[in-house]
Amino acid sequence: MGNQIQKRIKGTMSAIFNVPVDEIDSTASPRTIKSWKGKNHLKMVEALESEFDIKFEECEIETLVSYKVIKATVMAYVS
Amino acid sequence: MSKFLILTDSIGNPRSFPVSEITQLEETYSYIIRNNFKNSTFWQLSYGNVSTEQLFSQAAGYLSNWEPDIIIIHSGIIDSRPEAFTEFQKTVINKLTGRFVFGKIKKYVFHPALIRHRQVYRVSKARFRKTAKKIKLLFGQSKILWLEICVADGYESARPGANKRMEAYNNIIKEIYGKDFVKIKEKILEVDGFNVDNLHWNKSGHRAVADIILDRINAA
Repeated sequence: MGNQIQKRIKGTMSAIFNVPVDEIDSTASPRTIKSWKGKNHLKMVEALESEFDIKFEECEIETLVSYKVIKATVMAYVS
Repeated sequence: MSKFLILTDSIGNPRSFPVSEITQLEETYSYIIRNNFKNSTFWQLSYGNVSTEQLFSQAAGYLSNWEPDIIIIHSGIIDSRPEAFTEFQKTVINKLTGRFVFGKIKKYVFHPALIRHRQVYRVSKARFRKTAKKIKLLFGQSKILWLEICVADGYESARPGANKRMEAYNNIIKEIYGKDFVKIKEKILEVDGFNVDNLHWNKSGHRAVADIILDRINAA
């Protein structure tokens, strides 16, 4: 289940940031992905909410700035 | 040398009132722990009147790559305790009435009968469970000790329904953290460690909790 979730997160991020899926690794962050900024960040948040049918808490949104945090947050909602 | 992350609500802070129960910074449990690990690195955030998610968001945002060895979490009363109004409703009442009038009606906003009747909660059990899980998922390599959510017995009369709610939230922590859930209430009561507000601790309470945590860390 964990792997499936990770695949879906990576797929969503890859589509929003327009980068290959294998660029979304455990170190992925706005530092490693140039298109991860501004509106794209909010688009990613919305896309993840839609993909997993969840609603992030307001204070969570600004923490979603690394794949590591995103993975833990999404998994906490869906697992 | 170890790395410690300590996240607490206002109870982890020093206390300047009432005068008879002043607790200095050096007497707080986190400081006592620091003094026992002088060569270790500590990052502590103690913030009052915020939910566990709001508290944890700070650590998640800034420290997710730091990988602390030991994490102590002391939060949950704000999430679980019953209220008469939501935070939004309180803000609206405050804005509509102005600070002066709000001061006068504050006693009704926090009136036990109204709290008993309305039973509004800031954080649902499902949201609290999600946050507790997330902390474990994000800091999977760390030893996480989560302190029991507790108050003195008199708190129930000010916040009717608080005990039942706290029990439910403590059960969520136990379910996720198992033996790393740290029981503290009994010991605090033993040393008469609760402040007169039945929520915060005096220096005896802090000392007792420090001893419990130190025993846990040293036994690990």
